[in-house]
Amino acid sequence: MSGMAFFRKEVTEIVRRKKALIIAIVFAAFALLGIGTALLTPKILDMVAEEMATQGIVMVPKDVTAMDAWMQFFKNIDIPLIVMVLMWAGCFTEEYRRHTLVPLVTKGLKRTDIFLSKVGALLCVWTAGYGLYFLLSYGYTLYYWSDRVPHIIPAVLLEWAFGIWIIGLWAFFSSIASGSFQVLLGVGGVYFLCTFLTIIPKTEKYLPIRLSSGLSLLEEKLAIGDFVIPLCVAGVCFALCIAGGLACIQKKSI
Amino acid sequence: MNALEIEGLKKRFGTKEVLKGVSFSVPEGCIFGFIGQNGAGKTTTMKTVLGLLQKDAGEIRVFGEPVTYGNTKTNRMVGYLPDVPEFYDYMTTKEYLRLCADITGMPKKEQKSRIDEMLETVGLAGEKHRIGGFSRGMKQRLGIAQALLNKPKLLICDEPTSALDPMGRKEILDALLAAKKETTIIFSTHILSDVERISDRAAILHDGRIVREGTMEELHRVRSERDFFVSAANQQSFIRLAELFPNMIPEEEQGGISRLLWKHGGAEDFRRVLKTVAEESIDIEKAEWKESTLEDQFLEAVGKVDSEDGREAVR
Repeated sequence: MSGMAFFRKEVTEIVRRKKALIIAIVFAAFALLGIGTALLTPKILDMVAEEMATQGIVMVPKDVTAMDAWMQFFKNIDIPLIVMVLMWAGCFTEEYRRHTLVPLVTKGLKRTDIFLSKVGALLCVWTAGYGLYFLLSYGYTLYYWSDRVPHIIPAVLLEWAFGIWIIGLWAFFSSIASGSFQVLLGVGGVYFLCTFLTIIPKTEKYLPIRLSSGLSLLEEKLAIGDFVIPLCVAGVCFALCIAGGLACIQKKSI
Repeated sequence: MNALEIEGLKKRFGTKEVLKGVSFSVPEGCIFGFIGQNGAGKTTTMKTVLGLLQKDAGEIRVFGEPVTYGNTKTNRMVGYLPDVPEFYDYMTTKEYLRLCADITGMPKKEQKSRIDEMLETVGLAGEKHRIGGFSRGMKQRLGIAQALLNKPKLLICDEPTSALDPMGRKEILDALLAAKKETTIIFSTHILSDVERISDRAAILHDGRIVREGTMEELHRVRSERDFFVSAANQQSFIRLAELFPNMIPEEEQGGISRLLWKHGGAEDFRRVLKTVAEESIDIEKAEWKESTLEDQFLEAVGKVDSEDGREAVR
């Protein structure tokens, strides 16, 4: 009951503080940018080819396919995800700093409800934003190119799971941090650590960061089976982050 | 029954021991002034009572139920007004109070009438703007409304008037007096006149300990056992008084007239001096109690007695 009330408060906050609008604009803008880049690539290449031809270099024109549009899809998604994490970095810590949770907790609001409501709200935001990003990209790709690209749905879902893993990290660091910078440092630190570990071949196949390699699946450099382990690791990591966050917020000074 | 009982409460932050065994009780139905300097530990005590801070030692009971750290069940009986109440600035008063009502589990059909009633009580009825545009006083009043919304048996207010102008202070104190009909109130403050105005009981917290506690009458009684002065009419009388009462301390008064001070005297001592003055036909200008205020009590308790204020002539 109290958890639902707090979740409604979170939704109200997201709408009234224009976070929902900003997220929708950012995800839509990057979806259109991806399509635009794919569409404009031949024209840009033509211009470059003309320039090169004067210097005696011959460039072979390349037809743009649906694969190029999906390549842009997977290359561009990082930025909206980063924007979302930046916007939500102070979601918990701002409440700790301003002590806005104190009257509600003393009214009987459970700390677990606070944590789960905030995590749930961001999961919804990510799912909605990413869904909009996908639908726009899918619609335009279908409109402009008739060729089919294999494994689109699994690749898209793996990227969504990657976002969930990032949200798990955000939730955990939000439960222990005192400021939004610490949250960003925590999430960024784990991300860069994983990126660093990808240079070790033995560890690379276990890292959740592989979930953002949907492009490799489309290009068939990796098979769906190659994502099972990182998906499981990401799932366990998310569960641990949520469990750890729930434990930490119980002790957190609000 | 006691609304709140605290026994031997200790709390340490790092190496600093903020509460060194705080003990006091608050009987049901009273307004209890919790006095202390800034940093004395008032907020720490209150947050511990609310289960927001973990105690290092001691016992806290609200209406006989022990308080536990975290999600303490005793909070269902408690309303809390923080020192600087902060709300969600994108909400209206009604939306915020509805959120509070939902959290307390108040039935939907009761919510509207109770919210309207509370907004009327604190003078925010008809306020349709979002909280972001509210003044400090308006936020404080909304804080009282949220604290009283679910009819708590115990209302805890942390420095409710400290940052308000005189008009705002009066409004808050009036609201607390009105709330007394329904609830026991504890309010912390360093504004002693507020305590004198509305409290039935008070306790002074200093250096992590309660150094004075009692009803306002008891505190006044303690004050009557204080210093008194006798001002001699002339030098001869002054010398005679000094001979008769060698324990009295000579002091220079304004205008150069000498007087004698009896420190920590009682009514019996005062009567004895007056009787001797009459029997010995000593000329005096006046004899007066140093009728100290609660502020004197407080300052004495914290080791800074101001000996010049508040005298009552008994000539």
